[in-house]
Amino acid sequence: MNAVNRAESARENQVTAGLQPALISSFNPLYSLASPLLDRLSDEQFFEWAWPSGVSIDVDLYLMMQNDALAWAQRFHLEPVPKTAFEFFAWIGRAHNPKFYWAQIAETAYKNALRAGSKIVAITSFFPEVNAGPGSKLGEDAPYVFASLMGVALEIAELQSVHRGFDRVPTIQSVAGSVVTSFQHHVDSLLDKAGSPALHAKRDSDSRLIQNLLGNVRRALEILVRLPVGYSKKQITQIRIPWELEPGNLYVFRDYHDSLKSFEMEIGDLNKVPADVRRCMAYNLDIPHWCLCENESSDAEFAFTQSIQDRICHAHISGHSERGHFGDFSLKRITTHQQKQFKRWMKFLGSLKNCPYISLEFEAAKRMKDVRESVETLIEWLQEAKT
Amino acid sequence: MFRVNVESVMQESGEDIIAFRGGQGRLALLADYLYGDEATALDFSTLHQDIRLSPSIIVRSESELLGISSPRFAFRAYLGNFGFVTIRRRRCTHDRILDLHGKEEYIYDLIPRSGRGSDVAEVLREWTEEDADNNNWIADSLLAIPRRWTTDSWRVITCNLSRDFGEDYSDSLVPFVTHVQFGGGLCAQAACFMVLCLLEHSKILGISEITYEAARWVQGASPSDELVPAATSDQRVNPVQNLLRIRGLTPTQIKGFFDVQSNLSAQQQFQSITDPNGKAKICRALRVYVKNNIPVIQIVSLARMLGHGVEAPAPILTLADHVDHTNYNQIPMGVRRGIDLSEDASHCVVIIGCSDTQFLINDPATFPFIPCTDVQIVNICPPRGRDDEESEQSLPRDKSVNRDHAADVDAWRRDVRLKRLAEKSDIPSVPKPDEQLPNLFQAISVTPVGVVLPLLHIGKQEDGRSTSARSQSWAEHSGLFAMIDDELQSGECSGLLDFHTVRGRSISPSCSGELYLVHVRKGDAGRSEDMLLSPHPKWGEVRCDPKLAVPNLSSGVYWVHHTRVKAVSKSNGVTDVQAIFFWDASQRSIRVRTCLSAVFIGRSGDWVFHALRERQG
Repeated sequence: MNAVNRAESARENQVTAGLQPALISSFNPLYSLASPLLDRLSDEQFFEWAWPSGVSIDVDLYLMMQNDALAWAQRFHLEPVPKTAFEFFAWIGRAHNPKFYWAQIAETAYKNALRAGSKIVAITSFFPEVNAGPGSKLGEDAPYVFASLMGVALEIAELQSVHRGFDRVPTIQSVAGSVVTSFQHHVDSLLDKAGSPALHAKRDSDSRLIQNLLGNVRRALEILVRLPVGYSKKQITQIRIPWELEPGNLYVFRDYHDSLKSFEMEIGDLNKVPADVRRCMAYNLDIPHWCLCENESSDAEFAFTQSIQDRICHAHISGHSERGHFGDFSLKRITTHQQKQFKRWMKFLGSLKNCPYISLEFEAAKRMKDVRESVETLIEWLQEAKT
Repeated sequence: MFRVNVESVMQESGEDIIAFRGGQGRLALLADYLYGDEATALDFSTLHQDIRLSPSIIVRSESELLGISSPRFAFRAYLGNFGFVTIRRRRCTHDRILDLHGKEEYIYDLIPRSGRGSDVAEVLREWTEEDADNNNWIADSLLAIPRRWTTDSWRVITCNLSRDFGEDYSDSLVPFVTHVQFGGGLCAQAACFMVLCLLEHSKILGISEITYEAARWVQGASPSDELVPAATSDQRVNPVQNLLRIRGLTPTQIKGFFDVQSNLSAQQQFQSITDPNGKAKICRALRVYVKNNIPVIQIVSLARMLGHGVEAPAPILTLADHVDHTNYNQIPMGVRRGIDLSEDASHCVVIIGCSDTQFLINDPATFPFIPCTDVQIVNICPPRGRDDEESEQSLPRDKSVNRDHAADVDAWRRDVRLKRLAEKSDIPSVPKPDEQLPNLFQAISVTPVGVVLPLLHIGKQEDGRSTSARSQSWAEHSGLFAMIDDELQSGECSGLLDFHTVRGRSISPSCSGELYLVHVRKGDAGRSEDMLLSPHPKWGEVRCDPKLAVPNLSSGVYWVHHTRVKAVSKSNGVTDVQAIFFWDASQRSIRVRTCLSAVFIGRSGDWVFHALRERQG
């Protein structure tokens, strides 16, 4: 049995309707290799290192680790060489023919996903810099980064539509970044006992940073439209950017009380936000992150407005500490209390009309066994939810 | 396991982690110091083979604080059965800072003072090439207690966080983290992180969140915000909203940080060691805390820890080129570089363990598990400056004064400095050594809002974790209570009670809860009431048998926790009362009372009678 058949046969017992499982491709942080889904590995390497063999589910493509970006920059002979994934995407977004670069990345990821019998249903990124405003270097790059992420998503959609009959543009999960935008001295620094100036992080307002995000998305859409051989309006209107909540007081999207309201208010400002930008804006319900922010209002999901519910178009799940933002671990190891919480949120997700996928997030996993058993647990819960 | 290669660790964290001065790297030195003399000693030569890329709450939040996108992950090195050490990717952090915030003034502020020169370009070059490695390398780590401190005479506070870190250790371990040097050092935040880990039910926050929460407390609680000069009217209105100072925290801010957490309460305490009995009082009190799993943050002088300016029998820390298993105060120099002794700045350590004659401290600037004697732990208090003296005098003694206001020594200091600044247009100078006043012992102890809560939860925790451990723990505590009782009877406990700094004030409904030592006089207990207790939002579940008939409490000493609990009295309807939870040492059970006369012991050591509430009818 070849690799593809093996993967396809593993799907037999999986979820067939309703909320579908997916797996983020960044679970395997092999340091000497780029993320396997973006690399040119042999079948044996691929199944040894890239995918939990025996379980095949759809993919949430992580775009991308720094090492991936450096490897692709080398492959494309980019000059000057970008140092980070953010710079890489800005570089190719500004290129004379950006579709050339986007298509190659999309094709590699598509082919690797196909080997595992999987579809790419979402893209996940971590670029806090995208909230930079106009006038700064980061602010100039951010629209091109967004455009590149959108471009890769559209190219993947094209491939999957033509070859597999799957008509869905992968959603582009993004983080809204930190509120710390710069550093400065302050007259208060004179109070320092030793008389030396003290360091202050300058916080920008949520409102301004969300407006920056909206502005950068708007400019990215304009870049796509202006391409000589671009994308159809129908394709572009399918792009969704679900923002992921990150627990931490210094993140722009940090809770579902204040910052979710801020997002709703800014997105809903009809005078400032064009319709095509508003259509893009969505939320990614990262269950462990939302649980960490869940204090006394345990029934928060029932308080969501219809607008918020309609904008939730993707979800993440992972084993996670109840006490802090420690990182992901096996879903099998969560407490029974967490299980109840998670299943409640999954039930809520199942009731939404725009949220077909929930991705298992497992960044920097310790071992393959943990990933495998987490995938099995997620599938089991989804099946259980249907019975 | 998904291992990383050693080259990646050397490239991103520094070569010194694996090899220091051509010998053992810092990782091996740490392991050798902690576990090198044990029968199942580690093979130091292969430690670097057992490292993986891992999530890190500390590294992630430091990046958040510095406004950089990476690193989010760190390296985690495994020390066999002895836990793990998370290694910062220091060079990645510095590279990202240079990429994003390459302004000279910003960089200048991140450089430790000792490394600064007049030529900024030269300093920048040195900093990027070398000084990244001066930053402490140990991020959020869990370590087994070295065997020499596991004997019956030792008590060490541990935590069960292995699962939270995604690891499989079955034993309780001790959290440890070192602080970064940015902004002059964030030792207080590192100490707060360790304390949060050691408290069983608290949320655990990263460095950025701790810094922010402390700033939030200053904004809300400082009585003198209007004196903060601001560059713009916007900042004047809300100084913390826009600017977040990246530096360590003052003792008052540390206390403030814990107090704004939903389920924690901190006590900031001062004790002059000029009092002949002061040192003994301090040590006795510290032991009570540690034996009750209450971690204490002590304000110290790092220079004094290294023996500068003190006449202690021996310094807590000495630096050596090697590990000496006959002297655990001799820290291998490879632990860390760049300890700045040029100024005698305040520093924080966490007291995590004790025996009858010694303490164990986790020092975020150097090492975990540093032993020190009673004399040493008191002698490392920072020199008391004039501000301390004035501020201590300024502390209102009037029991009716708001506690937060009274304790806000730092705000007071700030006011004084600002006034001086306005008068002299000059920066107040640090007192010269010969002007320094005797040392002032300062410590912050942190308890959950319900320190008796674990007992109430025995058998109820859904994952069944550590239930038996708690039972055992409380059984052990009964011996402690007996000890305190003996001390009370013999009249020797004034020091201990003094340390609690109970202020005889009314317990207001807004009080988040504190731990009090209370002596209940026989016959003073009130009548049993039929009560229905509803959960307090800050407590989670509080379940008590509403029909419990409580006999009169006998004379004795009880740990008491009070909180606001809405009680439904059958006779009086709904009313808010102060519910008081007793741990009865003799019965080994919890009792809930709402009306009694209790005896609080005041700061002066006098017995202060304070009627909590006399219920009518």
